[in-house]
Amino acid sequence: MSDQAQYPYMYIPGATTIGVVFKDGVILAAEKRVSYGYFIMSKGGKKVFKVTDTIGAACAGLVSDMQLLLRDVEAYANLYRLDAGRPVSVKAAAKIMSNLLFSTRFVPLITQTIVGGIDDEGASLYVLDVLGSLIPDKYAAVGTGAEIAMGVLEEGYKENMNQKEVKDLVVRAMKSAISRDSMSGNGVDFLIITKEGIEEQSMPF
Amino acid sequence: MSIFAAPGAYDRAITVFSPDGRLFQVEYALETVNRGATIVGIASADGIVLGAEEKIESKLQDPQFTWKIFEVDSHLGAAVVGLGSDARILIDQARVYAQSNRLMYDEPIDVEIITKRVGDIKQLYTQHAGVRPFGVSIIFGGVDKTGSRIFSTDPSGSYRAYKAIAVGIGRETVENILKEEYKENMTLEELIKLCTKCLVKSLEARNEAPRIKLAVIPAATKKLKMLTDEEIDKYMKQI
Repeated sequence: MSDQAQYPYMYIPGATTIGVVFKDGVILAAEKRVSYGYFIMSKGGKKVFKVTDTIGAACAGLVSDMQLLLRDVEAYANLYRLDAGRPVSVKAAAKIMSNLLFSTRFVPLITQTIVGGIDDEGASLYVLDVLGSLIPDKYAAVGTGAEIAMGVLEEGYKENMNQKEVKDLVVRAMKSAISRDSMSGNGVDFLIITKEGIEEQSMPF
Repeated sequence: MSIFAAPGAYDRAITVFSPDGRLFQVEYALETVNRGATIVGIASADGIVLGAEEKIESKLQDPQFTWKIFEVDSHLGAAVVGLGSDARILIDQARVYAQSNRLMYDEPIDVEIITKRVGDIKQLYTQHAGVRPFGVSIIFGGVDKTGSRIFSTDPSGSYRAYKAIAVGIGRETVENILKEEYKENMTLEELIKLCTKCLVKSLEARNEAPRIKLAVIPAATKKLKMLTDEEIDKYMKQI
């Protein structure tokens, strides 16, 4: 603990990050607080990222690591598109991220990620941990608020929900997590990915 | 100027252009390919067929043995024409690319991408000093995310997409048949028959005994299957 007091960068910021698949797409959400221990470093941290026009990612962990990781994945996704002449699939984008995470296994990038998006096979979502394990899922939560958010998701998730129902569910899960996890708060960023593209939204609370 | 670079000697090293902009060694490699025993690739929405003439040199040769059609990955095959030994090197490398694509992206490699990778290797051998070009053309056929695809590379490393193509000594004969009879909505069974016919006619035109090998990849299964000699005999009898 005294080490952490001396070196503020030794802290790992908390977060609540959620991803849910629905009928027409995927919603990714992350709250905006960046905390260093008891100190709120920023009220405007952005933890959701666009990867391609139809794929996004939402992260929890060290902000530097998630930014670096996402820039790399974005670059590889662009190279893939130019090489293959078609956009990268959600699974392939998640696999690229998984490989990058595993390749730094001995000095890990400290970030958990939810990759979600739409491709020829429809909407899908993958969860990755710091070492790059790749798990497909219908809904997921990562970060310090994950346990609280997951309770709400578990209770409220149903197959074939529409966009409004899913967004309401995600907001409810976020509100629960934010009100009981001291390292989460200051509003939520959304990435709503449908056939029409990616819509970015922000909600203060 | 050294005495070795005599005027007009533009075919001694492949890295040297002739004054009219040609790379003779690459053209000679193409000649090897154009004189090789014919290979054919045909695609429709139903799948793809690869076919090759395989002349037996000795009565004691194992008739089962195939050396012009290869499985590169389960969804992807290749037929080669030209120097068989050069071809094996490229096929070995193509197999590595196919597996590495699965490791990198968790996806079977696209037919176009593998063709491009092999084309990249061929191109290097038209530009580096101290090497000669690969005397091989390869038809890659497979079923990937984009559908049933046929691509072909020549010794220069360039590649193109085809609905149907033949390379080798029987090219003209076969392409006349293909232009006449190929339709985009053919069933796999019809593709096999057409491919068999092309190869048999091209061998007949040169008064050679018909001996052919065929591989198919149905779009339904995306799995390459080499046809047995019995199955091929059956199709040959139907012509």
